[in-house]
This record gives sequence, C-alpha cells and structure tokens, in this order.
Amino acid sequence: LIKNIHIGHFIGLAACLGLAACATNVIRIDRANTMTAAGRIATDKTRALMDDVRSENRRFLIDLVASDSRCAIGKGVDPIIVYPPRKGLRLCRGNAAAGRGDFVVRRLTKTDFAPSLTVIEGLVAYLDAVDAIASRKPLDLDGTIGGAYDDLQGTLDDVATITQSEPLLPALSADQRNAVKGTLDLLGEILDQAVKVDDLRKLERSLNPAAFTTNLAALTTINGRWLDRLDAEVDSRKALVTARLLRTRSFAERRGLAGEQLGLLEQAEMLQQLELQLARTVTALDTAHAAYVRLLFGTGRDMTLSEKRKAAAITRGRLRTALSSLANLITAF
Amino acid sequence: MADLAGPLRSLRDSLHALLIRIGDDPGRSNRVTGSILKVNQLLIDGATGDDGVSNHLRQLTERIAALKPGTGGKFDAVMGELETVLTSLG
Repeated sequence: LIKNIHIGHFIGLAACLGLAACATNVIRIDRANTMTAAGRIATDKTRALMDDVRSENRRFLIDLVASDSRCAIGKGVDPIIVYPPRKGLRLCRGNAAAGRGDFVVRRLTKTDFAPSLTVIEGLVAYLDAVDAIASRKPLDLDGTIGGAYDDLQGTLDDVATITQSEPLLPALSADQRNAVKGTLDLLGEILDQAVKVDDLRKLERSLNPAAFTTNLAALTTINGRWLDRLDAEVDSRKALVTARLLRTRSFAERRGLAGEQLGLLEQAEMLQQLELQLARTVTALDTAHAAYVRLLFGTGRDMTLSEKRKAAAITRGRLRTALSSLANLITAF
Repeated sequence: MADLAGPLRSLRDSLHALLIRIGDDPGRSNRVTGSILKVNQLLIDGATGDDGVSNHLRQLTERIAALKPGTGGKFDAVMGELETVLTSLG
C-alpha cells in the first residue's frame, strides 16, 4: 500500500512538474492558503481586541460606581458625569437629566460590537471564497457567503437605526457603516458573478482586487476606533485610582490602589505594542493578498516556473516573519 | 476642521501630572479628574476643531504644566477656561 501511494505521488508530481499550468495552480493554492491563514489571524486579533474593550468598559464602570455613590448603573441606567465639575465633590449627577457639557458613560453591549463583528465575518467569508476558487472547490453560496451577506445587510439597516436614535456614538457609527457597506459590496460581487458564470476561473478573473484592500483599510479603522476607546477607558480609570490613592491614608487600601495604578500604567504601555501588532497583521494580510493578486492578474502570469517558485518562497518568508512576531505577542489584557 | 486627538492627549498628560501635584485636596482633585474624564470622552467621540481650538488647547496644556500647588487663583482661572473650551467641544 505504501509503495502504491509513493508511486501515485511520484506520478502526480511528475505530471505536475511537466505542466506549467499545474505548477501555477500549486503556487496559487499555496498563496491562497497563506492569505486565508493571515486573514484569520488578523480578524481573530480584532475579535480579541473587542473582548478587551468590553472588559475594560466594565472595569471603568465598576471604578466609577465605587468612586461616587451617585454614579449608578442598572438596566437602561448609565452614569452621567457632571461637567464642568460642581462644588460638593460629586462626579455623577444621579437621577437628574444631563446638562450642557455633561456626558454619559455607556455600558457597552453586544449590539455595539455587532457591526464590527459582521465586517470581520464578511472578510472571512471573502477569504473562504477565494480559497475555494483557487482550490477549485465548490462555493458555499447559501452558507458562509450568503449568511455573511445577509448579516451585513441586516447590520447596515441596524446601524442606520442606531445612528438616528443614538447620538452617543456618531464617529464610530459612520466608520462602521462605511466598513459594512464596503464588505457587503465585496461579497455581493462574488454572489452576483457566481450565478452568472459556470466556471470558477471566470469568477476569479471578475473579482476586483482593489476592493479587498479598501476593506482592509476598513478593518484598520475599526481597530483604531476600538483601540482609542480602550486607551480612553484605561486612562480614565488611572485618573480615578490616582485621585483615590492621593486621599487615602490606610496602608492596606493604599497598597491595593497602588497595585491597580501600576497595572494601569503597564496596560497603557502595552496598548502601544498592541496597536503595532494589529497594524502588522493587517499589513501581512495585505502583502499576501497583493502577491496572490499579482500571480492571478499581473505580470506573475508571464513568469517562468522557477521565478514563480522564488516569488512564492519570498511571500512565504515574509508571512512567516510577520506571523512569528505575532506568536510572541504579549497579551496586554 | 482637524482631528484634536494629538492636542487632547497632551492636555490629558498635563492634567495627570497636575492631579499628582495637587495631592490630597479633594475639591481640586475632583475638578481635575472630571476634566480628564471629559477629555477621554472627547477622544472616544473623535472630537474635531479648527486651528484656533487646537492652539488654545496647546496653550492651556502649557499653563496647566506651569501650575504649582497652592496657587489658588491661577488654578481656578486656568481650570475655568479649560472647562469652557471642553464644554464647547461636546
């Protein structure tokens, strides 16, 4: 049996080595695979970032409520910070309505993350489609791609409603709406073309390679917005803890607060690293995608077999470097 | 209109340093803490402003950095001006 497998491999390898088209296909599949791997890492990192933001928002609310008895949280109740601060040492307004300058510290819920998550699911669905096209596998139009498309469409409707009724997240909502729309267009293109053509190679040629790069920019914007939020909430907690520490005399309480203060300083330093690592994952994905696109649409089609192998090795090397730096990433939160 | 993230972050650093200099004065500490929270809220909202606002924030950052503990009148004047600017931004 082993002997037969070896013979089969040898015949397959010999057939492949003899045909330039087969070799091109091998490189194409190889690049599509490295691209989908890089894509999953980039999207996973964004998901992890959103988890961090939610945890930090929770900790900030806890610190706020602990700092002032008028800072209350409950179902549909968010603390209102009085601004400018009044005499009487109160941070929050209590039950009274917000005045000019006052602001609400909102508890983040799943709904707030839904637009970003659907963009990520959409990008993953696109990468899966590219993988299927390159590997000549059937496209899962009703499942992964169709599902992601429907979710994006639903989110786009929701975001429009959220923007109208929720003035507290104007900047984030505009970015999210653009990102959702871009990813929706990308998947829509695949779905439209897939029903028109019977050969996946034709579909491959009809894809707009620039659209993916645009959507990667959307992913970077989403990461940036969430990182800003994380940074702001870590910093606000730092202020609350420092103020409390300066007024406290008890050694045990000071010890606890000092530990928290140190932890927050370290978190703020880690944030810069996290920002760099996220940017690196997106760049790695962009590089892998560009190499793949060059092979399919660019001058790569005219390269000799040895040139193609060399190009594939360089791409793999670049990705390996980027991915190994990610493996060493210290989890900040 | 330009993104105010840079000037707001510098201002925030200056306010944190002031908070430590103030020490255990609860009234002032509460005022500075409130302004740090407000700056962070503006950063989350992606506050924008023209060059005039940007320059005003930079100027206030320097004046806050120069504040010494015990300078009551100056503290009230600078913080009052800062609160007016931050309130106008959102």
